[in-house]
This record gives sequence, C-alpha cells and structure tokens, in this order.
Amino acid sequence: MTELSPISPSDEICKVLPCLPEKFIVDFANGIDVVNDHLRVQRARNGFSARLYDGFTGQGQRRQAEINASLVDSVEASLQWLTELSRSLARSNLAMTHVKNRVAMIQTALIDLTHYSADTRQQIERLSFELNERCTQLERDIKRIDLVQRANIEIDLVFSKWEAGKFASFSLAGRCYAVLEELRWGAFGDLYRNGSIGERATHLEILSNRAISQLMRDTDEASTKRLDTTQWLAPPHGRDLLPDAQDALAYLGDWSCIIQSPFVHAICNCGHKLPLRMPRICSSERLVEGLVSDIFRVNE
Amino acid sequence: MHEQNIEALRDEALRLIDLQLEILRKMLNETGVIAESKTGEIQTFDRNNTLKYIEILEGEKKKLDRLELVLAVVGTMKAGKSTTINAIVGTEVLPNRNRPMTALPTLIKHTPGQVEPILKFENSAPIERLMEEIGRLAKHSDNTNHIEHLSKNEHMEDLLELINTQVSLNKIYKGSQSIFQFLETLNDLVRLSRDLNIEFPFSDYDEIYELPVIEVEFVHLREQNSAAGTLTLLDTPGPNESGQPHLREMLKEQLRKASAVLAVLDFTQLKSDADAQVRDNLKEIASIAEGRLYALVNKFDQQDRNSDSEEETKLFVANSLMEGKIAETLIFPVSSKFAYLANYARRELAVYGTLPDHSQYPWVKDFGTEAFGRSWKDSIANLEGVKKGVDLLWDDSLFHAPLEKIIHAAHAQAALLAVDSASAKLVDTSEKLNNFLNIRETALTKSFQELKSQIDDLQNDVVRINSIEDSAKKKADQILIELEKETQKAFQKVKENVFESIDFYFEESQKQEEQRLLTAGTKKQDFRGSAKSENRFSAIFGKLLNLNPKPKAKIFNSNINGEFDKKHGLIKFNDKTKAKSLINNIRRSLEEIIRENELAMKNMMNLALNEFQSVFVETIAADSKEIFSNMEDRMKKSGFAISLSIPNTSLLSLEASGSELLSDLVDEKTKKVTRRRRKDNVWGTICGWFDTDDWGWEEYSIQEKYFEININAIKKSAKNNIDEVFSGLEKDIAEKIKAPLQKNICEFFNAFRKAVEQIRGDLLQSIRDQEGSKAEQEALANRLAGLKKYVPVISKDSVELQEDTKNKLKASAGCLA
Ligand SMILES: Nc1nc2c(ncn2[C@@H]2O[C@H](COP(=O)(O)OP(=O)(O)OP(=O)(O)O)[C@@H](O)[C@H]2O)c(=O)[nH]1
Ligand SMILES: [Mg+2]
Repeated sequence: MTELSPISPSDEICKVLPCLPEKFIVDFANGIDVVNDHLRVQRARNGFSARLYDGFTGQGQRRQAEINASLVDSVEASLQWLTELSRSLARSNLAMTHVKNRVAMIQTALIDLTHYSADTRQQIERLSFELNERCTQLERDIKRIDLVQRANIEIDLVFSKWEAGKFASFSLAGRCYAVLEELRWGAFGDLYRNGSIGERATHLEILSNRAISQLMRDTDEASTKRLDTTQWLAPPHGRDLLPDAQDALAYLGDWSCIIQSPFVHAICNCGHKLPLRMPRICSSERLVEGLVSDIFRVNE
Repeated sequence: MHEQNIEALRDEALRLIDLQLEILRKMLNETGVIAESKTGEIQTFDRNNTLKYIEILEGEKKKLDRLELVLAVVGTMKAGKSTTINAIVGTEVLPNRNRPMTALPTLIKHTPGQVEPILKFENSAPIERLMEEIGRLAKHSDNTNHIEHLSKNEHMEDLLELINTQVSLNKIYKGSQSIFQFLETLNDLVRLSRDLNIEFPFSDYDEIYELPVIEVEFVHLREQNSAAGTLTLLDTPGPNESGQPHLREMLKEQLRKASAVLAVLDFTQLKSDADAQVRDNLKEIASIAEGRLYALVNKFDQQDRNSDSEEETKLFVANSLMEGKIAETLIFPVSSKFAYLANYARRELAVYGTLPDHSQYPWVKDFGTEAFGRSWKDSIANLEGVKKGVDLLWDDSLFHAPLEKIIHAAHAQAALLAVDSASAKLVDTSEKLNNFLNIRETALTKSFQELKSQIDDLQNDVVRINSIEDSAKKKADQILIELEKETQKAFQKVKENVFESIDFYFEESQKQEEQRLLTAGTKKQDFRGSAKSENRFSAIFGKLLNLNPKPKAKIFNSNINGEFDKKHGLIKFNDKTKAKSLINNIRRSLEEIIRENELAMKNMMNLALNEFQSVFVETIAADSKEIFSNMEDRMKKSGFAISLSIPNTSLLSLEASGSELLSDLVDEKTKKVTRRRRKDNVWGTICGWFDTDDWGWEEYSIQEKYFEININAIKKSAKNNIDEVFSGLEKDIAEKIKAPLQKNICEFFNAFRKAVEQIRGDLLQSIRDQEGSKAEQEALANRLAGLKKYVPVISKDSVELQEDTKNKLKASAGCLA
C-alpha cells in the first residue's frame, strides 16, 4: 500500500529532493481557503501530495472518517499547522517569501469575514509577524553571507549528488529536471532572481554546461548526439530504485503546462501524449536548453 | 545508447509540420500580417502562396501518416516472380504458367477486406490506341504472312479476334478468372507489337500509378493492423522481356522508387544463370537498389542430397553470381510454391472453413501432394490434419523469416523517404518564416530611406544574378564542346580496340581451322574436338579480351566439320545446323568482345560526366553563395536577420548516367540500321544481323545443297555496323545533354532570382505597413513578434531532422560496405 502510506520529512525521497517540503508548505499555504473555511485538500488532486500531507502533519494514523469530516481542515487548524511547518520545514528564501505573501493575503481577507474568531485573527497576526521576521533575517543573510558563494556550494552539492547516482531512480531527463528544480528553490534561485539580465544569462549558461556534461556522462554520448525522446524519458530499471520517484517529480512539476513548459510537462506526465512543443528527438544540449528555459525563463 | 529509430524521425516530422501549420494559419488569421502581393512584386508569404504552403505541408503529413510501401519483385526468367507474389497474397492473382507471362509491370495492392481480387486499369487509352494500330496493320497485305504465322498460336488468334471486334478495354475486372484473361491479353499485346515492330507505349506507363493495379487482401497481412502503411507489390517482366530499351528504362525508374527490391532467382538454374548477361543484369539492379535489395533463391524444394546446401547456395549467390554486390545475410533460399500453396489453403480455411473440391481446383491436389504425399486424398478430408499440414508446409517453404525482414525493411525505407521529403519542406518553410517575420518586424522601426536603399540594392543583386546566368550558359556550352572532343577521342580508341579484337579473333580462328584441317584431313568425318583443344582456344581468347579470365566465347567450334577455303575465307557445310552453329559461335564471340568494350565506354562516359559536374556545379554554386552571403551581410548591418540557402544544385547536375546515354543513343542508331529487336547490350542489334540473309548463304543451300559461310563478309559487315554506330555518337551525346541542362540552368536561376525578389517584396510591403497609425503599427509588431517566437527552434529542429534523415539514408544505402 505504498500509494497511501505517508511520506515523512525523514524519508529517502525527501533527502534526494529537499525541495519537496519547501514546495509542500507553499502549496499548503496556497490551499487555505478562508472564504469556505477549509483547506483545499491536496490529496484529492494528487495522491502524492496527500501522502506528504499525512506524513508532514503527522496525521497518517488518523482514521479516515475523521479526515473526511474535515475537522482537521478548518482554517484555524490549518494556520496552526502552517505555523509549525514553517518553523520546522521551510528553509528556503523562496518558500518563506511565498508563504509570507500568502499569509498577508489571508490576513487582508479575514478583515471582511465576520465568522472568524478573535483567536484566529490573533493567530494569523502572530504568524505574519514571525514570517516577516524570518524573511528579514534571511534577506539580511543574503546580503551578509556571499550569495554567490552559497549558490556555488549548492550547485556543487546538487551535481555531486547526481554524479554519485543519487538520482538514479529518475529517467535521464528526470535527473536533469530534479537538479534544476532543486536549484530553483535554493540559493541558486535567489542568486538568479537577484541578478541583472546579463548576470542571469551567465548563471544559466554555467548551469546548463554542468547539466550537459553530466548528461553526456550518463548517456555516454556527445552533447549534440540526438536521441529519441522516449529514451530520455524512459524510467530506469534496476534494483534499489525509489518507488516514489516518478510521483515525486510529477508533484514537483504540477505547475507545468504544455505550451509554456513542454519539457517539464513531458517529464512530469510520463506516459501521457507528448506536448506538441516537445521534440521527439533531441540532444542533451537541446534537452537542457528546453528545461532551463521552462524552469527559469518562464517561471520568473 | 541506442540508435534513434525511424518511428521517432517520423513523429518528429509530423510534430514540426503541425507547429508550422499552426504558425501559418495564425498568420492568415491575424490582421495585417499577410497581404495580397501587388502586381509585379512577389512576397515570401502572401495570401495565395501561404495557402499553398499549407497545402504542401498537409500533403507531406498525409504521406507520413499513410506510408506507401512498394516492394518490387524482379528476377531471372521463369524464376517464380509471380508465384512469389501469389504466395504473399495467398491467392492466385497472377498467372504463373509455363510460358513467359508477365510482360507489363503490374501492381498488387493490399486492400483490407477485399477478398475477391479486383483489377483496376484507368490508364487504358494508350493500349486502345495500340490495338487500333495493330488492327490497321493486320489488314495491310505486307503483314498478312506474318500475322498468319502468329495466329497459328491459339492465343494470338484470340487476341486478333479481340482487336478486330473490340476497341475499348474495361476499366475494372473482377475475380481471378477475368483478371487472368485481361493480363494475358495485355501480355500478348506487348509481344505482338514487338513482333510487328510497333512501338508499345511504355512511356505512358512509367509512373507507378499509371500501371494496372490489382486490389486484394493479402492473407499474410490479414491479422496485422494497417499502421504499417499500405503494402503494394510490383510484378515485373523477366529480363527477356525487358530487352526493350523503353521498358528497361521504365523498370529502372520504378526500381529506383521502390521501398525494397526483391530479386527472385531460380535455384535449379543458378549455375546456368551465371552467364555474363544475367550477371550483368543482376549487378545493375543491385547498384540501382543499393541497400534495398534482397534475394530469394526460389524452388529450393528441388534441393536434394547432391545439390548445394542452404549455406553453399547463399555463398554461391553472394560471391559468384552477384560478385559481392549483396550481403550473404540478405539471401534466402525459399520455396515460393510451398509458401503459395500453404497460404492459399490457409486463406480458403479462413474464408470458407474448408478446402474446395480438388476435382475442380487443381491447386488443391498440388497442395495435397506437397503436404501429405501420395495419400493426400485421405489426409485432406481431416480438417485438423490439413491445418497442421498448412503450418508444416509454410515452415518448409522457409518463407517466413525473409518476408518479415523484407516488409520491415521496406517499411523503414518508405518512412525514411517520407521524412526526407517532409524535412526538406520543413527546412525551406522555416527559413522563409524566419526571413519574412524578421524583415516585417524589423522594418517597422526603419526609416523610409533605409528601406528604399535596401530595396534598390536587391534590384542590383537581380542584375548580377542575370549576368551569372549568362556566363553559366556560356560555360555549359563550352564544357559540352570539350566533353564532345574528349568522348570522341576515347570512343575512337574503343572502336580501334574492337576492330583489333575482331581482326585478331578471325585470324586466330582461321589459323586454328587450318590446323584442324591439317590434322584431321579433309574427310567429311565427324570430328570431335577434345576438351583440351577447347581450353587452348579459350586461353587465346582470354588474352584477346584481357578482361575476362574465363570467356564463354569459343572460336569456331571444333566439331564444325566443314571445308575451309582459306583463300576466300569460305567454309562449306553439308549440314545446315552445323553452319548455323558456327554462325552462332561467331556471334557469341563478337558479342563478348563488344560487351567488354561497352563496359569500358560506359565507365569512361561516367568519368567524363562527373568531371563536368564538379567543374560546372561548383563554380555556379560558389558564385550564388557569394551573392547570398553579401546580401545577408548587407541586411544584417541594417538590423535585418535573414538567412538564405541557394536553390537545389541538383538541378544543375546531369540526370543521365553514361550507360543510359549510351543505351538510348546507340539504340536509336542501330534501329536505323535494322528494325530488329535489340538485345540487352548496347550493340545487340549488330549481332541481330546474323539472322538476316545479308551474306547470302541461304541461297547456296537452294542451288547446290551445301552451305557456305563467308568469313570475310561477316567480318566486314560487323565492322561496318560498328562504324555506323560510332559515327557522330559523341555529337549526339552532347546534344542529348544540352537541352535538359539548359532548361535546368534556367530553372535554377529562376529560383535564385525568386528568393531575392521575395525579400524585395517583403520590404515593399513593409513600406506600406508604415502607412498605418502608430497604434496599428505597434499592434502589428506585437503580432509579428508573437508569431516568430517559436520559429528559431522549429527551424533548428527541422535542420537537424533533415541531417539525421540524410545520414540514415546514406547509411542504409551503404550498409554493404
Ligand atoms: N518446384 C518449384 N517450382 C516453382 C516454384 N515457384 C515457381 N515454380 C514454377 O516455375 C514456373 C514459373 O513461375 P512464375 O511464377 O510464372 O515465374 P515468373 O518469374 O513470374 O515468370 P515470367 O513472368 O514469365 O518471367 C512455374 O511453372 C511455377 O510453377 C517453387 O518454389 N518450386
Ligand atoms: Mg510472372
């Protein structure tokens, strides 16, 4: 029953993809629906996010009936979880900023809604304050500690994981996507978003080159050698593969769309019809170029 | 990693077509992007040609979606081509009797659901005209003798009857019986027209769609889905029929276009097929169908303990017969007869659940005896047993593996060709899109003056192109004159060589004849030449030809047993057949000499043509590229990013190969000399003279009851004929090249000019764009920018697709290396 078993932050897949909790918190915050006083339950959308929900909120043991009664999904409960989760899980500037902005929105919305208690209002004020503090702190860090250096260390770390075979559970293209997505959430993403146009291009070029050379190693082919897209997308086979690998990618890339980000869409919706804008044959150069543009140029 | 597969190339081509169609349709829908061209100017995209581009891409899409696989079946005489096709189809759609059957290529197309074969023949008018002409000739008194002689043959009688009574042919024939009758009529017509010396209208049938087509469901493909595309088989006449040059040209053309070519050889005739003519034919086919050729060694059911094994057979065909032109792995010993009987029975079982009555259908007996032996009658009563028998017979036919392999390969080839054609269109369209959208967008930011000066510069480019065209034409003429001179010199040498060989041949032969008379005395006794003496003669000949270590040609056969009058070069015989056999020997020897020299001539012609090609094409291509790159630079300086490729230089190449030119021309010339049917080789007709009474030896036979052959007259006559063929040949060749070349040069430069004119047209339209309001111009700029967003990646992907495809095609053609 892996489908339903909760995924906790200490599980292997979260070590391979540390950006999973970051994304989870952002989604969690976005899911709080103040108008209808509940949390738009992500488990309905994707089995994987439901498992993250259960694992991260420790609700895995709860009886299904209780969950269905949506007692746990009230805004009040959700805000409590959000406070806890953002303390324990969120590390990245990107996630924190998203959550902070979302909470600010909720705060404004609550002003016009009469059915919330003073407790709830207080609760959100506290959370908002806390998040603002953390963000200011992070921003100060960004200025104080050399961001370039942190981004470089991060790149080195992520690529060394790839080299060490930590992404072996993903397809060839999936590995590349996982790496880029990881970097987008982390210090590299901060560096990129803070750069001038010229600097951004340089960052992406460095990133692309590293991704291409690792793909060349993985495929044992030249960077211009064109391979069938089915080969790039083929799930790996072998022992000791993480069973949730493809689900995790699908969850990470649930923002993708067939027109704006066809490469990510193809990787995350493996087995579906390929988007029209996804080449049926491509070299590692072309693959990386497409992915980088999907993830960085489109998203920001 | 794995090789990319052809399906992916096909998917990619389809994807890129869809993307381009999307852009083109958007261009039509968005205001102000596409305009009507004003008279006297052409734009890269105007309303009309945009629709045309859409249509072209839709056409390519259709071709990719529904691949047309054509599997051409060629082979030696009576090797079982038609039987092989019947085997694949699983029913008797083609006559396979013991006399030559197929005279006009026929298509057999897999049509799911069509159980009863149906023949469609739309293009019947040329044949009807032929029938009329034959009818008219038949009435002419000169031909009555000939016709009478022909109508002794039962079939010809029927045919003449048909010609006299019916002038039009049906367009549709249903069922095997009427299809057979129609095909036989067609075949008889081809032969009759040849005998009557009327040109059969082969040129009206050189495109595949012009041929008669039989539609029927192939039992072999019944269970497979049709995603593979449509498989069409092409039955071709044996090489004896294809002696006719026009038929030969037409066949070659069809082989070139076929997805795969299946050569059927006769296992029981392999050793005798090793004669030079057959070998040459096969090798020619092998070079036309390079990388697409497969060989079936048919009638392998005749193999026994004493004959070659499967392995030996493959080796013999690969090495001795085809001289390495086909890989051993592409040669398959099979029994088409077994396969045909098994598939026929399988089909009957599938359609009717049982075999038909053997007393009415003779094939059932054939099936029974092959599958069950003498006790077949009892065995075919048992349905389960019959099913097993079918499977066993099918296994024994050894047909399965090659069939799978060949159809698979044909499919891959068809897909590759479709992608190749599509990718050329894709590259062209994306280049145009790129230029068009860039120019229009950039021009919105330019001043009128700037645009005007660009337009004027382009005008000057056109003038320059005109002058290059002039000099190209002059250069072509000049090179043709050189070519003529060179070929004349070379042909002269070949001719001298032939004459020398002939002299030498007759001299040696006379010497030997004297020698023989000396040792044997002049008694009219049977003289049997020993194997040894034959070898000695062969050795002399080997030296003479200097090319062929084991010539088939023998000098006067040793058992001629005639009287030799050396002084007058006369040999006397009492026996007509012996005289005839000597004549035949001489003819064969001359043929051999001619064949060897013909080869030298062909090679030489090809060398000369290649030389011409490289000099001519390269200089023009270089000049053209220079104009384009100047243009690109000039426009880039003004901020216009365009790129242009020069028109297809293959337009400038000579379509004809040396051997084609020679066959065509020599054929025309020899036809003037004699209206006899020519043989496969270039100078076949010369030897056709042997059958005439030019040397008068028949007359002797009437008056004096003995037969005399005048060696000197033969020699002189042969030389005269050769002389005739050579005179002015080089001039004719140059003439033959000239007209199409001139036409193609014009076409090349027209395309060249058009590319420049289109850019000029786009700039002129840009001037009109600026007449709109500021807001309108801004909106247009946004639309153009949106449209061109994906063009660069589409363009890049298209170029790479084209490269992949070209490489694959090259690899598949060179897979023997
Ligand atoms: N033993 C044996 N005979 C065969 C086989 N295939 C064909 N034949 C016989 O060979 C003869 C010629 O067969 P066709 O199929 O008409 O040959 P073809 O090559 O089409 O002949 P043309 O069209 O006249 O050049 C017929 O008598 C067939 O029955 C075979 O596999 N084994
Ligand atoms: Mg035939």
